Amino acid sequence: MSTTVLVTILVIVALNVALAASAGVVRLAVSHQLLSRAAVEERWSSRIRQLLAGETSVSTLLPIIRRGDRRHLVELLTQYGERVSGIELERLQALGRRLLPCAESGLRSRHPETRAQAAQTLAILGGPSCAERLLEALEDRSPLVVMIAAKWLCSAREPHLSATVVSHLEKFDLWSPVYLASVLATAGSHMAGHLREALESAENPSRTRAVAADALRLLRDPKSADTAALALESDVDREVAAACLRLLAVLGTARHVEAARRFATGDDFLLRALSVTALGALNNGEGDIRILDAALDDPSPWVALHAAAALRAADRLELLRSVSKSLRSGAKAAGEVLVSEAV
Amino acid sequence: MSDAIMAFNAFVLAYFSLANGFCLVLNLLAFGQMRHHLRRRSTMDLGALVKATGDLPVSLIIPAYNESAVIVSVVRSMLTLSYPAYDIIVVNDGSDDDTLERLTDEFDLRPTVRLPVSDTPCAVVRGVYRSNCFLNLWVVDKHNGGGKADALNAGLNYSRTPLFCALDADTLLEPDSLVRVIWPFLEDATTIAAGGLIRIGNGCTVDRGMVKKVDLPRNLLARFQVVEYMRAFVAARVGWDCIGGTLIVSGAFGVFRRSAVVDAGGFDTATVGEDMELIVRLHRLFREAGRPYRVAFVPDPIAWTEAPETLRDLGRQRARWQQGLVQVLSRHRRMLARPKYGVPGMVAFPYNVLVELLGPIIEVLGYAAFVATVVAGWGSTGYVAAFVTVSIVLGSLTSTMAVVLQEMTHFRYDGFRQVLSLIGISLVESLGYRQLTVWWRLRGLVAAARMNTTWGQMTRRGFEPSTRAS
Repeated sequence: MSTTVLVTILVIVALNVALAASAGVVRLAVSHQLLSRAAVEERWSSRIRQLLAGETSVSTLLPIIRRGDRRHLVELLTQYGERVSGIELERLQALGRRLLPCAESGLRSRHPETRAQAAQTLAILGGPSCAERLLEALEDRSPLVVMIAAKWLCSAREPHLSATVVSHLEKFDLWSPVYLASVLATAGSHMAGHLREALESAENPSRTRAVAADALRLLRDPKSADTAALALESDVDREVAAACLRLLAVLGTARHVEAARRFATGDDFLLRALSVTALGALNNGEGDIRILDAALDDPSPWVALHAAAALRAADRLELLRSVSKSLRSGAKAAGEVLVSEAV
Repeated sequence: MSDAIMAFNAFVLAYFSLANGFCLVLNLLAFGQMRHHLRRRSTMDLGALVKATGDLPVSLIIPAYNESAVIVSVVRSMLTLSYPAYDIIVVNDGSDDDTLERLTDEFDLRPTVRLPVSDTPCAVVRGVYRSNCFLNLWVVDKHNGGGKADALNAGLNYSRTPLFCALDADTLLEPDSLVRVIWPFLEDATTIAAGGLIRIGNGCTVDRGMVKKVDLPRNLLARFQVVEYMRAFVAARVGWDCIGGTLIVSGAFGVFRRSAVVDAGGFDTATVGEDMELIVRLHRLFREAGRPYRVAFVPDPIAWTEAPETLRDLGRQRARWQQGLVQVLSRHRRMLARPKYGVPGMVAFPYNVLVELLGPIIEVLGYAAFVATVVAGWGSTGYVAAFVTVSIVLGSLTSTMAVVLQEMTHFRYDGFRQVLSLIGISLVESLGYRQLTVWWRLRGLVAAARMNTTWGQMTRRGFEPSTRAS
């Protein structure tokens, strides 16, 4: 056997044995880490609860923090910080701010996930004092870091912070519009004005305008219905039109019916479906009821179902019953809505 | 003759070295990817995620053919998920046992009206039922269409959510599995499919559809499969995801964007590898259309499945998987080594052809040549040692790496004894068990050549003691 072959074989066998042994080592290491974390939790959980209840103070707790506990303690405080608010959060942050240097170094890591975790810790434990650092994080090259920063800037509910997030919306192009709208809505009514501006401006990308419309819907901002109706009356693309129609279905009034109605007989099945839903919610008279009735026979089952639901929302159960017993193509959609009504 | 055999031996050695070497590279990539994921997971606010997913409802589609032993516990487990908005659609695929009756009794099903919203081809639907007590539970009762793909298509036609999750009838999800596997769809709107970890549930303690205590199976065959699944999911799939070469999202636990699948024509009923075929087809269609997309693997959410515990059932399963592989690779062979199809076409596809498809043939011939060489006295000690090393030891290395990776990241098996057992299995896997799987895969190749598309029937024991047959 040549030396090369022998050495190669020995290396492979040795690697195998080493790996097998390392599984045990890894198990021990992970166990140790979990035990350390559990020990910190056991030592500090009751103290943290006392702090939250105002029964102890930061000055009492600071001297007893062991150096080796800092990292796990910061994680524990962050977990609590995600669950509390108001005065409890302020008390937690009073302690957490003293430990922040531990987390700040993470912002300079080359790993985006580490930077994101640091941003999250700063946001929860630093509170408003870390707003500037989080604003800087909005310029991070990693979409994850930017989203973490945006999320916490929105939840701070400060108008100038919300405005900055809205101005960075194009950085979130990849993220799901649903998630993005949900994050923006956490900013509260402070955000509404900025979002209306974002929706109104035709220069903004379609994605930005659509997300703004969805966030306004989640915020239940009544003024946004006018903005959405205006947008629908101009030449908007599918994504924006769909979001505006969804908004009108929830926040529209009778004066917005015309804007919704124009899509009821268009080429796009999604917009027809959303249009009939809006008409059912806005319920502007027999003319629209006839449109909904006709939509029951739409070739798209989505439109038929939306039309049936819209007729139910408009309290036209008799009409639905009569269609369900007929030979019309919309009979099944009508029947389904009636059955679910009975349930 | 001896020259020809020695030349072939050299080829086999090179083949094993390269194939196992590539797997090792995937495992190394998996280590890196897993570290990224663990760091990322620490930033995941599950509560906020759950809230955000309220506007992203999911349909869980569960095809069920003669699954009366497990279907109730599986549906119960699905009803406890911590996900704000989802439907469960069980597709009773022409069962001739009491699957439908058990569901009706347990969940108070009533016949109802539900309009299908797409017309992906499937066998005739006899009726739709809805639970009176769980309004998000639906049962679609249909004639048997010859396979799982047909049942999934039926479920697809009746689902109305932007996403759907394909599950097996023996899959148990953990309460946060769905939230975690949806994550790629939230962070990247181009995501069209995402898969999660499949783990072997045999031996675990299950109570009312939830895994309460994780343990290794007592059955040796099932234990081997535990290590296999670790190698496949914890290591290989993570590695493939790292380079964008995911060619399969398991039909036992995979989430898909409904519109993408409907536009692609649904699941292919002419193959028994419908899960892989769909993903490969999606790769092809999206790349041909020049549309951005992402197929993700999330090494976090766990689905527990029942593994076969008899040689007969396991053999059938592996033969079917191999057969499915042949069908898929044959159907989409124009993707092979074409730059237009990126990493899936240039790396993943050739790997599947050269290693997964041809591997059993080369391996069997390799063993035969090895035996002939040793018996005839043609081989040196070095050759014997090299053969054993690359075919057995190198193979064990990938399994052992997978066990180490699982220890680093998932820590589901509490006892040190269990870890030792897994290591032991990974070391001896290539001393018989692997050869058995090669034999079954060969049978799958033969079945593919004969164009046999039947699924066969696996004996289900069920997860909970009360559901097991005595």
